[in-house]
Amino acid sequence: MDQWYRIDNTGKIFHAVSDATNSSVFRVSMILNEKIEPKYLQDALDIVAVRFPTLTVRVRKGLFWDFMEHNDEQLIVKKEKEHPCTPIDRKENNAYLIRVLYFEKRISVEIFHSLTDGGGAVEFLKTLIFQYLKEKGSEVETEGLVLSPDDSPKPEEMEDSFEKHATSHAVTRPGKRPGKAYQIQGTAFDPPGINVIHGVVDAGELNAFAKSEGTTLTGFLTSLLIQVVHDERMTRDLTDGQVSIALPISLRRQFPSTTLRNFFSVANIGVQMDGYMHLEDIITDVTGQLIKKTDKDTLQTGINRFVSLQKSLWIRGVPVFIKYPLMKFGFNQIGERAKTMTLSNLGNTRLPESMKRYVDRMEVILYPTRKSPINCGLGTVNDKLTITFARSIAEREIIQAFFRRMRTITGLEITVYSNEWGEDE
Amino acid sequence: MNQCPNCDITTSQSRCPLCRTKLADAEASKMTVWYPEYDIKEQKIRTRISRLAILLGSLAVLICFAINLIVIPQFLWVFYVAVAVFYVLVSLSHTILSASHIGGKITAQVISLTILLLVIDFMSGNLQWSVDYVVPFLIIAGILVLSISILRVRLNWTGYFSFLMMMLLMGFVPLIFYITGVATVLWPSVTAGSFAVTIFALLVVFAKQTFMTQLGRRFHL
Repeated sequence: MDQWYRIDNTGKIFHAVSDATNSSVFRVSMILNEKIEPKYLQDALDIVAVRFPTLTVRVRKGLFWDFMEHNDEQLIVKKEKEHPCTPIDRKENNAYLIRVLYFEKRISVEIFHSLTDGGGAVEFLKTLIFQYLKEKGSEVETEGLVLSPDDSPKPEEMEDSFEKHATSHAVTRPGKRPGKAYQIQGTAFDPPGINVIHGVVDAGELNAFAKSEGTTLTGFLTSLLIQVVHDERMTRDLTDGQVSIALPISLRRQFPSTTLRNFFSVANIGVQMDGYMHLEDIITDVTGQLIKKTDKDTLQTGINRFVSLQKSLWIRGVPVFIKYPLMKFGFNQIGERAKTMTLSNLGNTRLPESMKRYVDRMEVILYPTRKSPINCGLGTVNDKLTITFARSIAEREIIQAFFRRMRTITGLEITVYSNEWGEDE
Repeated sequence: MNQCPNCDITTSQSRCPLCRTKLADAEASKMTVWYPEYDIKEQKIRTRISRLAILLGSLAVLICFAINLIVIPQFLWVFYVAVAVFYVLVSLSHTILSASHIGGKITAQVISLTILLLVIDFMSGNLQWSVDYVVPFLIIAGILVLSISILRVRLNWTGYFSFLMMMLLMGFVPLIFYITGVATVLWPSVTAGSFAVTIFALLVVFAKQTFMTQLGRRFHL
């Protein structure tokens, strides 16, 4: 099979910006109720890899854009040894940009972001675990909630949905350049690495609490995060200012799409903080912005601008060795400076009833970057929400304050665990 | 499960992940292991070795610079040392220690060696033996080694495409040197150019379909 794919519109950015301090590799995992057996996992992966052709590719260099080609080599499962989201060394991974790891009861999929977003990764993970359970002899059915490994890949799963849903290709000027947000400072780990702290909480109860506060779960956690980041800033340098949380928004909900490639937008929720802001005020502000910035028309404008930019002959005709450094500069100077932290909520992952009893919970780990050294990922399955902070700096006060305050405000039980990277005994 | 009195959270770990307070003895808390134990020492050693190599290289150049200034300041032979150190560092990190594509290693070697030779020749007075003979034959050797590597992998050759194209383009560099008057001997330059054209022709004749497909993909807008 000699299939090739253009890298989708968002994926191109990750190609341009990834480096040693920004791996652009995120992880989705599920913790099962039994220890993982690698033989069955490999058997399952051999079958599932064929079902997801856009994920099992290698990247080739092009003059104007890089592109992806089908990869004939075997994708091999590996026992987890390194910290999460280590950069993917293409040469040591049979040229794949995806890795499948296992450790104790956990199956993880780590993906270079140019291949897909969290939505695509979760679909892959669900199918992999479904097939793994089948290989082990468990009686599981897809029940319309898992992409069946027996089906052929559908063309709409491979489409670039940005192009499909763009309604105008006219190049439009971007809106006002976003203001600079507060950026978390800290001491980078030596050797460099990623520390993760997970907090597991009852999703239903937290959701109910958020509703009682007049917001959504994402709205509540974003508000809480803004408050603790600001408080931490106050203890550090006694200054006020804008704290912005970047929220990746899956466009599949508003724009019908079953693509397994990138299809998301980012809403920056920024609150101008001062000493008089209470959590209620922040929640009101955040909720209002969330409604406005996830409105279909706003998202449509974003899709159109995004596609029009990359359709521009000026941009297409410039070789990558010029284009990539410029894209990287733009990403760092405009995108990264406008946010304090990213919070990615992959939402509630629904599993077939026949699979639920085998799965305990899930984890979402979002790679930190130099300007955003702490990021947060949320994933819910079986009514358990796991909040994961990934950091590349030694300072953990924000994370500590977040969980403590969440416990105080909601009264909910929180179970916390960490990979302990960089922690001294 | 352990309860942290400071953070009011539960954890199966012996220390609170948030405040690092010791909650139980390691023996008593042997419950679930969530992550592997990382070999941080090995990583630290690896980082230190590469830093040490750069430091030693820079130090060698600085010492030579000082000796050069003291002994014969009218002739700056330190540049020979500097360019050689640079070449050794590049070769170590890219050609020997990295797991880069073999095509990339060959191309990087040809380019870095060309730079090294040009600098040495230039330092000796004016560009002569490098542009006249050594660089053209170095490029021919590069194209030849790449072609042999491609023949060895046969159907799997598309990974070499961009490196081969780059080397074939480099085949014309000696001719440019000659036309611009930098090189004075014609036949090595013509030989390098002709060799590049021959390999290109062979590629088009024997692998036209793949070649055209790759061309379309590599240059897609």
